[in-house]
Amino acid sequence: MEKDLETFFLTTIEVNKDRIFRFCRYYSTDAEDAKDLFQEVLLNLWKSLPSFKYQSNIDTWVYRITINICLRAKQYSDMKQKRFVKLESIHIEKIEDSNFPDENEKLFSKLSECIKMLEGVDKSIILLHLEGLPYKEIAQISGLTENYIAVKIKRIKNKLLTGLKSLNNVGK
Amino acid sequence: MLENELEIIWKNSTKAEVVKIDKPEFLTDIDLQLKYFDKNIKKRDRREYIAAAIVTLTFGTGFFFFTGILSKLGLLLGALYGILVIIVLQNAKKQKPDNYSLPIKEYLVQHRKYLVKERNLLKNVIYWYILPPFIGSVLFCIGQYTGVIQFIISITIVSGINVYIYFLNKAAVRKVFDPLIKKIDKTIEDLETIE
Repeated sequence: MEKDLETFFLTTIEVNKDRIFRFCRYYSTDAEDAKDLFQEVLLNLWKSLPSFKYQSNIDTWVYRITINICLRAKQYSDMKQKRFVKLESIHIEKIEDSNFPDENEKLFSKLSECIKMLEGVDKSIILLHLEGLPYKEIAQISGLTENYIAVKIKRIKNKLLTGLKSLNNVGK
Repeated sequence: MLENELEIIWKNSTKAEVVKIDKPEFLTDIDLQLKYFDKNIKKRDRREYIAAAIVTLTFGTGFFFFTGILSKLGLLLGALYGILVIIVLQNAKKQKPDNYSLPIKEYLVQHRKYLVKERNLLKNVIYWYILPPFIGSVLFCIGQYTGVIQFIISITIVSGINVYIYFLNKAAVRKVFDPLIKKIDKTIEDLETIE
């Protein structure tokens, strides 16, 4: 049973690790902070796994835990609480590869800048949307209705597009 | 810029940073970390129990050694206070929300409820943490009255300590709990509002 749980956990982490890290990145001040937050999320995923009901979608469950931990970290950030999770087996590597075209990099950094400026929950909702999740799943993660999510995403997208346009104008 | 472009830019970002996990060590790592946390929690709990036991034992022993109804009443109050504090603290810890798999809104509401309870505990510190030992000490001092100067000195010391504890808790409410609850309120408001 324990072995099954471990295998299930490792598979879940393998599939979701990059997505989880992206969320952590947007709720952190720097790369080190993002790594700490990422480790905290993984630790809580493992702690919560025995309570996971296998009838529900594991990705939805992972997102809920990730966002709740990220939001909590953000709320407590002013208290300068040091996080003590240190998992030596995790490494974050930056790819300096040329597969990532310059133009994309510029656009991505502008988009990142705009997303970072969004309020706490708006950030989560748009990140979930950008990850390609349907409204129904975002509604299940957030605890809001599907229609509400649809309208909210539209508004957030408009904010992002306006932000991107103004950044483009500044860049010109 | 087209809306779809946002998604395209986003999808490309995966190539910027990669997370690598050494699987064989990972679970051992997690297990060690959890054991470390667990050990620290147990250590903190043990410290609280020991402090409460010392208070209860000291006052309880005094109850049998000192004479006079007021002194005995004061010591009894002190002994009961030790037990009360540990019950209140343990009870508060049990209510800490640790189910992160709840939908965001539900988790925020639960977390807020917990913080409000904690804040109220500190706001009401005078009733469960300050007054019982204070009244106990005053009763004991009256019971053991040996002169006005000694009495005034004892009461001043006891009052001073209690006033300090009171303001310490008041500061925690103002600096920690009020801002945290405000932040959670704002997050819930943002979640529920469409501008």
